[in-house]
Amino acid sequence: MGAIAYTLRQAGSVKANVKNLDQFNEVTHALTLIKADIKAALTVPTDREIVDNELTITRVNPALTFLDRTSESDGSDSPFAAEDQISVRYYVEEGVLRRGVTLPDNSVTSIPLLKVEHLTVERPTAQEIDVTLLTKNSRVEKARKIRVAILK
Amino acid sequence: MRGKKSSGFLIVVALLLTVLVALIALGLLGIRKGSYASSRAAVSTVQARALARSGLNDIWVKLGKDPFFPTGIGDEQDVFSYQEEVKDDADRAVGSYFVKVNRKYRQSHQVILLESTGRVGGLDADSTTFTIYAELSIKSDDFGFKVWEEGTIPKL
Repeated sequence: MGAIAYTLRQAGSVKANVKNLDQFNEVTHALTLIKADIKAALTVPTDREIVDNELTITRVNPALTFLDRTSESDGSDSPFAAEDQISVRYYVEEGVLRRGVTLPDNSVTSIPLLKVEHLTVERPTAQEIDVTLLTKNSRVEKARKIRVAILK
Repeated sequence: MRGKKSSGFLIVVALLLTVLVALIALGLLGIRKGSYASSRAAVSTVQARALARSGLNDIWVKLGKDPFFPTGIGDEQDVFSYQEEVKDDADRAVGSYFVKVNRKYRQSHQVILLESTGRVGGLDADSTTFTIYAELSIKSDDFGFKVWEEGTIPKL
């Protein structure tokens, strides 16, 4: 009976760990997505431009290849022109972190990423940006932060 | 006689219980094997991504120090590549990055197309890889990455 109890305890422990790992993976995925967008950003908010619970950046539309963005081979057209850019906005709405994309024709698409309590953006230095996601389940509140270096 | 019958019954029950516990344990081991494999894969992906980022940081520094990197290659050659091994503090190979550089648009648009693939394990390892595509502006007043796409299929 002791062996059965031990085995069942282990099974419960595995289940709880898998659940925790899944939650951690969700947050990590969202932070990785934000980090990749910041790395690709042409503009990131300065310390004064930061808005609570929000992060907005502009980046080159990843759906367009370099040749799509450069019809002239003499370099007269910029491959990073305004019509080649999109705006990406992370924001919290009704307790859910969403990623909204605005195309040059002002059409907007938005996808939900995960449940969060708060999104915090900070600029510790001019070359760095910190993003913190605060998540909460029934008992525990967890804050996870990434720091991204801006190589500009 | 009654005691012998009873002990025989107990042995059968004990054997059945042992088989039952062994089956449950094997089932759990099977579940854990999958969990361990997925954890290993997740770690390898993160490592490969970090190695790919290291490759792009490496070429950014190289081009920042020497705009004509690599010296010794004629202007007529647009595409070249290099690979570097990354070691830990104990001098063990952690992985490597393979950087491909396309200088075709260096003069016309002042842009260099880059691709960095991180590979976990030694240089000859057939392991997890992760590729990042980037476009680097080489204008003197605007030296930085303008495009950064993670997890792409190699295209240069």
